[in-house]
Amino acid sequence: MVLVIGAALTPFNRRRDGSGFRDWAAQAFSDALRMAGLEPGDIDALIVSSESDFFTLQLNPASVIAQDIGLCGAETLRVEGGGGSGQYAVHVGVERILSGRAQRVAVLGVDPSASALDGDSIRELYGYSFDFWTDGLSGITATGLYALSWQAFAAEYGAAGTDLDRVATKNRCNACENPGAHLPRIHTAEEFEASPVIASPYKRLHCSPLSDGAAALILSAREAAPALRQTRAPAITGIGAASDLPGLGHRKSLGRFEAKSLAAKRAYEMAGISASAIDLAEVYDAYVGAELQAIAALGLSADPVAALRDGRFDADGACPINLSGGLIGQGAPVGATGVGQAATCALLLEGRYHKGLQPERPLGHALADTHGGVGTSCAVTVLRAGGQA
Amino acid sequence: MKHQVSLDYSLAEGWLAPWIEGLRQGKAIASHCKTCGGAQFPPLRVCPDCRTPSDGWVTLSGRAAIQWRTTGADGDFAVAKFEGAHGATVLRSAHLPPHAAHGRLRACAEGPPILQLEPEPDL
Repeated sequence: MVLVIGAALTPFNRRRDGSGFRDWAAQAFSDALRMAGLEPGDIDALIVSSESDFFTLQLNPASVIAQDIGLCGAETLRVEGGGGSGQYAVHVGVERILSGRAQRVAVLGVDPSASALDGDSIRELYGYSFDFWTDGLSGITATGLYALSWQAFAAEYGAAGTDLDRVATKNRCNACENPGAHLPRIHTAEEFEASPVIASPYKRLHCSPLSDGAAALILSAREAAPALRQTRAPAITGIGAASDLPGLGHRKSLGRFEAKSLAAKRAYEMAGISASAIDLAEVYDAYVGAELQAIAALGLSADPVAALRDGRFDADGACPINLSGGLIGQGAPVGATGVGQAATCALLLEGRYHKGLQPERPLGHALADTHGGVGTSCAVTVLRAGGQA
Repeated sequence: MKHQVSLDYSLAEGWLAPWIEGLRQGKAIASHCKTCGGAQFPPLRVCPDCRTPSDGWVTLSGRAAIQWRTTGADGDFAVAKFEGAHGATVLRSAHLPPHAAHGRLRACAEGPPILQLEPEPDL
């Protein structure tokens, strides 16, 4: 049994205060460690998620972060899986404990995706997230690839352009209650209409921002956790990952995230539940349409378009999706994204989340979903509320 | 603090050399699966259906049917299926008329290889 005894996120935004990624990493770790009631010397291993050395300009970032947070001597490791890096780092941390190699693990995600480089440079680097030798030789951007995949999905599921606006509105409204969110906004129909087209049908308002930030988890074997945390802390009960062909055209379905479905199936099986047991989810919405593609792939709705229109995924709906605001509203410091999703789920399950977003009803299970590429490298984590057998 | 890094890569084309050379010449060179006989464009080292290593190369006609297109500030791109290919591919479509249903692989003798379509010649 792996418990989440500490969870913290720094604000996700564009930093203009002179702080750097090492400051944010130290802050997230310190906050999570305090929640856990531990000292640095209690930590056996540090798993760091950072998508690209080009963002941090630091090979082996885990070593310098370990130095900064007093973990020298602990095992240090950096995990990378594109946009999915953070969730993969969570999985590695869980596996360290399940294997018996560690009792308490810090998982730390961080990236300076907004302030270190200009937007065009970051977008060029993201272009290397795809197969450089095939799709990459077309010069296509991430937005272009997601736009092509969305069109196939929209045709199959009967989605309209207004559904893209609806997802953006939902997530950025949620972000208004999240003091750490990058884009707390309430958009008007006129703003959507006027938003410039980046790659049709995606407009700028349908894209997640580039953000700075960090997130941290303290994972522990139940028997190694402080007594108070043993009873209250949520548990990670299922992890699953899977991959698809990087080239969109090679896939059996252009619009379906089939690797995500496989990753979710593996996570549900490990947790001993089905998708219907999930009370809320943080899913990977780098683009608004990808949220609906993810919901379908994760089995959270057979008709995600109709369910979206019915309000099922709203903050007060039956299965809230991206209460944090998601990447669209909360922001996207890539290496921190997956760790932040799992941290958000843990805080929600324990009733510690932001007041305006914490559901009043009791929660059983939550799901965190992240991917690299366009649904290429998929990692899914299932968490269960504390105090349950 | 400002810091600048300039990188100048020399990338070995390896097993993909025939594919890259095909792009330069405007020839659609696909990998061939000896088990199912399928042709993959872009090439795949292992057939995704049979999991058999490809056994060589075949040259397709270079004609492709457009399936999906996207346009905007990031450029014009499409998903298209080349005649004789098992799957489809993502490519640049800036040279195509907006409602073109087909195109041909465009050669790029100058500069880096680019995966792109051009209009079909008038028949």
